[in-house]
Amino acid sequence: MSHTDMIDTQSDKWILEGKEFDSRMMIGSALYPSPKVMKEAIEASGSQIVTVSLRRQSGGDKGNPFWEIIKSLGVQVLPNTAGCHTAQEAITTAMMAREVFGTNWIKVEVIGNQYNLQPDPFELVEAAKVLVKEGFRVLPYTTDDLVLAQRLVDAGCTTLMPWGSPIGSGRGLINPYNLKAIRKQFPNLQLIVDAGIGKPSHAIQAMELGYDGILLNSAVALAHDPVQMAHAFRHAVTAGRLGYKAGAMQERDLASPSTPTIGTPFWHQA
Amino acid sequence: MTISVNGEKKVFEKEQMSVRELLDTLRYKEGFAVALNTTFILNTTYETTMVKEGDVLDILSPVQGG
Repeated sequence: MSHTDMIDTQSDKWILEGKEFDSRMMIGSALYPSPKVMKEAIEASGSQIVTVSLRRQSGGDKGNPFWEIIKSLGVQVLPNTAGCHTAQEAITTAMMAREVFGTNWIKVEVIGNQYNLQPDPFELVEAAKVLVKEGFRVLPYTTDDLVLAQRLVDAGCTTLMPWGSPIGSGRGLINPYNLKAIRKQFPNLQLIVDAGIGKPSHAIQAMELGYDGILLNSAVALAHDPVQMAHAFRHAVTAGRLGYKAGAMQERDLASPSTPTIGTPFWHQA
Repeated sequence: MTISVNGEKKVFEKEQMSVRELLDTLRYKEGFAVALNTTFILNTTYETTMVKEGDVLDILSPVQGG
């Protein structure tokens, strides 16, 4: 194993909600061109946490090839409450997800606006309060609002997942200032940028801000080559994390030569 | 009785059935969870929870999600 690999996997385990992971990338299972590509992309990403959902399925005797593939990957599943618009809907969906998927992890998503799929902060906090009391590990999909972050912490959340930009937009981190503020205010929380990441550079930026992980779906699934893009994101997350841990230099207003000035040859001495 | 199952109207000869009986009739075996009139029904209570005229049953299964 190379030095770089050792830094990434040996000394930088990610403890999330009481479990240990090598990868800091979480990936969605939707929108892929085929189940085969989905499986290959998830494997290429190195992700050990995969988001899934629940929907009505017609006919009880048709089997579920999708779920069989996910189970075969041996990953931690993170069910979501996508499509819910009230706390009660999210709570009911979470209960159903816990029974089906056999996990108390839940990505709580309560949408308040159909235009930008922005979370409803009031319903989200209410859902989080109830679900934490019901024994769930609540990973809330939230905006980058600092006060809302505090309310979710007060509700018992130890992981927050603020958006980078609206779901599926691929616009990256549209408000790094707010994301930085949350990181600074909550140094001990697990923070994950969820939604809006479109390119590997966005993932690097999120990790360089000191975020503990990223969650994405569309950026890989809608790429021209999802498997190759999954590889790219895997490296981007590692690069961003290592960059954060290494500590970036201070920015300067003025240029400063990197080559020594002592011993400069004659052409600068005229 | 006429009830809604996953948004579709279904007609049954009996006036009421347990959730278990209904799931067996519809051939649901595993990998799903049930809500009756938007309330989650724990799988250990399928035998004792009764479905009657006008009820709304949702049977949800794993799908792709982001």
